Amino acid sequence: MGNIRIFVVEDDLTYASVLTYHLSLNPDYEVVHFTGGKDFVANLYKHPHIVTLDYTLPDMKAEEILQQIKQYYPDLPVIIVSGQEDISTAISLLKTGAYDYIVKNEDTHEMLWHSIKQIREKIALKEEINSLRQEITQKYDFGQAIKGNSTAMQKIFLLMEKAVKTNINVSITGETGTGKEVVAKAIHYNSMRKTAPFIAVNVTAIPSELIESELFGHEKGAFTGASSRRVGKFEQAEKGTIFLDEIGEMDVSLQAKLLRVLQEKEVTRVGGNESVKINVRVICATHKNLLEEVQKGNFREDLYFRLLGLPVALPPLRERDNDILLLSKYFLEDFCKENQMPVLLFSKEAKEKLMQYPFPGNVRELKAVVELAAVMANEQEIQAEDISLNSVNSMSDFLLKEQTLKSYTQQIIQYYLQKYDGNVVLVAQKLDIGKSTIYRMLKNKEIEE
Amino acid sequence: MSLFDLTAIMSMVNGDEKFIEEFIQTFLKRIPTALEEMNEAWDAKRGEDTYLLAHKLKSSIDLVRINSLKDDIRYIEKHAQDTNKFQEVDEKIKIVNEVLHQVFQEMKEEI
Repeated sequence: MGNIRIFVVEDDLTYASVLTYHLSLNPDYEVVHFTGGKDFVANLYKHPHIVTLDYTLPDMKAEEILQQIKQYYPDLPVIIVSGQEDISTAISLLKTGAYDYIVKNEDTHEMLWHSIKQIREKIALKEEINSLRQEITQKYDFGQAIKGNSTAMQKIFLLMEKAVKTNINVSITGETGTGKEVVAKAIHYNSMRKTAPFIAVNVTAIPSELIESELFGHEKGAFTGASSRRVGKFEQAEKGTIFLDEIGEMDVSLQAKLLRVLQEKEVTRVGGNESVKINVRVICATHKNLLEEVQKGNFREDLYFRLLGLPVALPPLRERDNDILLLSKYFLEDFCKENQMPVLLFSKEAKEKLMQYPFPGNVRELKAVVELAAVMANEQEIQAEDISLNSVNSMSDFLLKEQTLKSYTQQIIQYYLQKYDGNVVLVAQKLDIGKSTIYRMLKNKEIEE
Repeated sequence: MSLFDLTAIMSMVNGDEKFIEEFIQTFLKRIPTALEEMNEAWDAKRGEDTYLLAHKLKSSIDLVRINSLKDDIRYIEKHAQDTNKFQEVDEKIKIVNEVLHQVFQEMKEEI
């Protein structure tokens, strides 16, 4: 944090000189003194960080000055320093937006010092939050957050560009691990709502009996255990975005309540009567085909159309061409950097192995596979054998080798012969083929006993 | 014994004697004028102005710890607009004048 500019508005020159001198003892404080309200207001454009305002000024009332300050800089902290010991005056000014009210006495300088210290801490905290927010925004910059050069992903980027320019609801579909939440965050942090919260709710992660209060909040005593009022996720997301993940799993009775919230743009906390207006963008996601769920009667049609907005269908990784290699390289570099490891590379065979695998767990699975390979590698180049792919998908792996039918046949018969200790008769029965076929292949050394 | 005490200010400015000297000069320039303005307001029976000027003098009196005037200046501030207290306020204004003039004299001797 740089210098703190403090404007001292005080018409009593003797008092002002001591106050100004005292505050200037801190080299971080740049103190400017004004003897009147009008002079101060005329210089307000210089944007002080803190103002100390004498309550009784000859040319303007403190209330009037405070109003003008709040009109231009609603967050500017104003400390009233006054000889007025009347408590009602203090309360009235604090209600108008004064940060603090300090009575002129022997302890004024200490109280003022303390008050300014508190304000500085708040300013520093605010700056930190802004910087973190900036960092998050950069992190969720499309190019940073989502890697992909494939045609399928270029189409997604175009849709996301459209989504950030408006407040339209967005529905994201895609297999597990395709990055639905990442896309939702990228849309939020690139939209006009980026300075407000992004609240993610996984519908399946919250027990059904709690989901209503989690989403809409509850009043004290609404149910056993509701010991105090609680604001729900929709209210937490005010002016921002709520991300409803796995919306397809939502209970039908709750779907009706969610529909009402979306239609009325207001929520009623559980156990409460009062409606609270909300301004929230909804992005929902599901791995299910919601239209099919509507047809099956598991999802309300009216809610489906309310949520649909701009549909974004994320492609599975296997349909993203060379994105597998692009992402693998990115995850590998990131992992090496994070673990302070020397930079590793993929061998040609390792790349081929990655490209042949269908990645049913999509990007999430690829990341895990790459990280494990980086750990398993014994040299600077990751070899095919360092890459451990999920065994449940070995059949898909086998089929993706794109060999000839003859070659597949030979491999299948060979596998069965090994499994049944070279018992040709049994293998022929199991595969429903003639014994002669197996004997001929053995004779021609297409397979081994 | 001195009628005023600058130890509070000394501690606020880390004992900067040059500043104290400048402060006394500012005090001697501003407070006699403010006192005169209060007297004029009181003589002209302008209760609200008397109250405002007493209010201003109060912080300076407190700052240099003129403890003998602490209650009197507050009395003037509180009752300047109350016609029923005219006599009492008038008395207090005389006391404030008397003591402050002595303070001015002491300060002049100090610098």
